Amino acid sequence: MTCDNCHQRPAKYHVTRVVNGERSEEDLCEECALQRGELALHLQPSAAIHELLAGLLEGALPALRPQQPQHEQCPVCGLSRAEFARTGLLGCEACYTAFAETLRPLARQIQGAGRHHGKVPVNAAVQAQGPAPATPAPPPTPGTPAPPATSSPQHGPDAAGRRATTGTDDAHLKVGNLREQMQAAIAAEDFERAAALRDRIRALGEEEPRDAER
Amino acid sequence: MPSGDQAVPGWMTGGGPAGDIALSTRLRLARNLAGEPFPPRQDGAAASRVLQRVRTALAALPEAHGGYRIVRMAELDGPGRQTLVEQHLISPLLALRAAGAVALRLDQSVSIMINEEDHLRIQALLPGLQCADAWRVADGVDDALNASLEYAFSEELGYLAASPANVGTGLRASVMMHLPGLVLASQAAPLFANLAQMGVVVRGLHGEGSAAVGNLFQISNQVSLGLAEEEIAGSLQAIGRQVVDRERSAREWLFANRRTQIEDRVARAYGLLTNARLMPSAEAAALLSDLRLGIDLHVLPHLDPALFNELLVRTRPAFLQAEAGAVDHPAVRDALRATLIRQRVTQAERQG
Repeated sequence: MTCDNCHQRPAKYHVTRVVNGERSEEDLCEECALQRGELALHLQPSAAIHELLAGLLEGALPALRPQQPQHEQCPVCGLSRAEFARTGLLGCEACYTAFAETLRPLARQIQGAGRHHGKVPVNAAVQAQGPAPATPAPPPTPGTPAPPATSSPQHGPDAAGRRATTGTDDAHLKVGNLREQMQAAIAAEDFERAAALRDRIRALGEEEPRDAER
Repeated sequence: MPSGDQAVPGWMTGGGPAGDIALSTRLRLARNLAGEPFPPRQDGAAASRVLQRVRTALAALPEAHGGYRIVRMAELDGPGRQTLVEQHLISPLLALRAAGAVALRLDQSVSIMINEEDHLRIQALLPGLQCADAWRVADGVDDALNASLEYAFSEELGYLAASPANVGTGLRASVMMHLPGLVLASQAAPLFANLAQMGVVVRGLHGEGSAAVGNLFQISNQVSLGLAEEEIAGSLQAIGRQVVDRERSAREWLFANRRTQIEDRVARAYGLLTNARLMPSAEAAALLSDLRLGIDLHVLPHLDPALFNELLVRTRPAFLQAEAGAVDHPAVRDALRATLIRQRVTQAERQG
């Protein structure tokens, strides 16, 4: 079978398109398919990841159902749980709070870890003042995870301009820095230094990262 | 589109640490602006707002960051977008997004995709195997933008992304490798299987799996959450180093034990590349790989290895089309490709 477009090379892809309910089918060779953009999704590796993710979600949802009343929709962007399960993509930062009880185990499953260990943005201090406190005091008991502390969407586009360096912010940033240093010390197995850093974090009035969570 | 785009990007000109095998390193950070819907749920107004905020943030960067040029996808025609994809400056996904844009640093070492899957995909592109340096470059750009843009972030999950597969650091590092030795010695598939167990993904650049056209592979980290950026970049660097070493051993083994077959392969590739009148894209990629192997093994000592890097980009369909003008017919393009390769190889020989 030759390509329906160039009528030269052998067809390699069967393309079915449905536009406004009109169905059309074509057999294309690789070159023509690429040129028409038919392979663009095929070539986009993350598309495959999303499909896998969506599969994980479908499998995971029933098992995770009980517990707390769940959001069926993100209150901010309106993304439905079903749509998230279909595409594997979230609509906004608030989705991470709305679907927290699904996302937490999912993150663990696909990432092999549950907690961020890297860089912290300079705006992190702003979010600590938002309605979702960044430093929840009680460590969550197993089975009833607290929603992740997300930045608040209410900040709006000009939030960066309002970033004031108050004392609280400084302390918070400092703790963030110290935590990073402590993690680095632990990674380097320099436990003496890690313990000293932990004491400094405590002195600043914040608990050390909840290792029980990992 | 402006003629400046026709240049072969800096990361593709060869050189860099282990640059004979590790052609380039790319490191990207996924970032989203606080208070804005992620691109998959954006309407036109939200997309313009994000673009405008990024534009303002880029304009406010200190001079040391170099200038950026912003290109909106809507300004480009199909081949124009495809050319940026072939230069690896944008992803195929961005090329499909009408509201998408890219900010290119004038030296082409940084490309910031805007409104792709995430609001920002900050990419550092360096020649050779340079994961730590690529991280430093991307980190610097990230800090500078964060000075005026507030990011969506959670202490628990890190930088929030449209896909949960990208949360945490939002970092993906990948190294493009030319691995003809491992493929010819049938060692690629078992090595890739082992790498998969270490959280490293190997993908053929053109084509799938270990039978990639042109023996070009992208090696990248899978996990973005739970490790610090330096650890992710450092471990990919270490793994990349090992792959380079194994490729070198495979080549040594082949040259010691299969010398005639290798020399024959290289000579055939040379013969076709310097004589063929029609050269399809996939065949060109395969033959150029053999040619480069011959250059590296000193079977063809008179050719400059950078020629291979240059031709890899310049022989891709859209790039060729953009350079040669509007030729939409594949057969015409194959003829142009054959001519371009013949001329470049002969020129390089005369100079050498």
